[in-house]
Amino acid sequence: MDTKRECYLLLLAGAVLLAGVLAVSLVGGAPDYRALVTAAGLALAWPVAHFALRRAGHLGDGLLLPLAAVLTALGLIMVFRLKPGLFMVQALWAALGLAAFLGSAFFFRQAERWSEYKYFWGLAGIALLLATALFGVDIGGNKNWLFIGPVHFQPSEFAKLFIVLFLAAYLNERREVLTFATRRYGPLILPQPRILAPLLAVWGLAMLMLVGQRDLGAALLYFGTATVMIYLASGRAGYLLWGAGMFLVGSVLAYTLYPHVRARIDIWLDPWADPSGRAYQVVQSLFALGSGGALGSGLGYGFPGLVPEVHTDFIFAAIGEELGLAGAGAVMMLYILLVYRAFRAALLAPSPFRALLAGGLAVLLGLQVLVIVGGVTKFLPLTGVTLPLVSYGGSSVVATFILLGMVLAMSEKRPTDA
Amino acid sequence: MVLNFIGIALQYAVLALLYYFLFKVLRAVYSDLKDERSEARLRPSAADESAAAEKDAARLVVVDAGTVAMHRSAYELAETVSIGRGEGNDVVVADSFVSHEHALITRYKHAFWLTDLNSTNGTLHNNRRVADEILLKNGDLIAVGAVTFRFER
Repeated sequence: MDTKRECYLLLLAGAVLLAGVLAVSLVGGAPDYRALVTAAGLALAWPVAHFALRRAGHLGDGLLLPLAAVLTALGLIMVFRLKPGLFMVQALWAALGLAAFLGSAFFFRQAERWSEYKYFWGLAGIALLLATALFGVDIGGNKNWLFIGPVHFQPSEFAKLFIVLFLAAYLNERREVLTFATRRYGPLILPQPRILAPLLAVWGLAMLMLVGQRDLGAALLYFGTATVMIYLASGRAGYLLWGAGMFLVGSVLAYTLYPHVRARIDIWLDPWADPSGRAYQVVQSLFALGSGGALGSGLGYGFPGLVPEVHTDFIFAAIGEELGLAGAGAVMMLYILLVYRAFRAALLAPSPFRALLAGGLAVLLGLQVLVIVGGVTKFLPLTGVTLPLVSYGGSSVVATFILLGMVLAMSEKRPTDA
Repeated sequence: MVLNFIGIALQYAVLALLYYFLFKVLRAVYSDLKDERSEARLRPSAADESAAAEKDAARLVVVDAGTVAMHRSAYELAETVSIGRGEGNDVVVADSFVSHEHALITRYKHAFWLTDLNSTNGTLHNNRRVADEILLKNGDLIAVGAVTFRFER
């Protein structure tokens, strides 16, 4: 792993950002120097940050930051194209995200030490979620915002990380029990109830989010990640069956009890029943993706503004329209590589705990991309989560960078201290 | 007019740069995989590995069976060995003070770890009750119910 190659990749990411911002501003006539200088600053900050990381002796996977940087660059270009007024804010979040990435990369080097406070992390995660349930403010249909003075953020983005950290520590201690202390009922296995408790707790939490805050996407992410992590810890596919079963029961209940869930499913099954009403967003997104073609209309030449919330949840539709299949495909490949590197960190991890943490984070990231890209392309019912690093939104960008910093720390090859 | 032309060139440049980046990353990933393969080749071959496994071999020797009838006097330790009263265990201890799934010994990276599976009466490691995972060393004594084993490697 040579630092030179990684710095070159980071400079390439910077070049993408500069070319994109310049291309967008030229559509309007004159180049926007303020945006260009900001972009150049970020483009420089990436290699500098990477260099600093290596100088400080961090041996984590050198491809994580370049992949994250290119996705951030694409996000910034699209935000600049769609909502020029939000570009500076998003650039600030990207810079803060970079700092958070470095911070978490060093902080989680002693992951084993922090894992001793697992109940603190678990409780902090639940407290954050409960706080939104109690004091949450509704922005854009999801009641998952918290205001602290002038700062408003989405705690569920950060709570995800706490919960994964808690689950990794908790499940690691109970690995053997999960694998062996089981009762068999035909093809189904069931461990002792007290061991199944975390699965039930996260399931309850997910249902609470679903019902209390209408946050379908987050509920799906939490539950999916927890289920897969239990599978990762135990190596028993039976737990996946249990998870799928509980998910099915939950979704059927939600479908029959809650009209907003039913609406989402109906839209997914047949958006053409009400294309200008309830299904407007998905239908416009499909039109945007379809009109993009292979190479897209070009940045600034499409009409992605027709899709509601295009700069946050639906940014993938705008990429599909203006950069075409080529751009959308590149985004998907970038995510695949990112998730691959995270799983690689898990596979090469020196201890089961580190493997579980890196694996859980990889699953979380992969699921989130699947859920939102699936929703935008009508492959899955639409659930509102952000496209990590690309969507506009500070909480999401910073939280994803913290996640990647954790993966970077887990990917560090160090002698086992067993 | 010139600006227009530059603008269009930049549009394609964004996509071209993206794919150039992807190409570079894939090449880095490929060379990583190749390194890992050659590392694997440098590692001991299958024959050496079985020799290494031989060196890794460990046994549980029954030191004191008390009144319990044990099937064997020593047990070879495989990847994971479960100890308990249940018939499905690798080491069956037919003692009513022993839980169905009582304890577990797992190999992880050439080391053996002892875990108590939340058994009712506990597992003793060198006369101390096992709470956490414990790294086993040659000569360690493990007591499950009335039976005492010695770990040898």
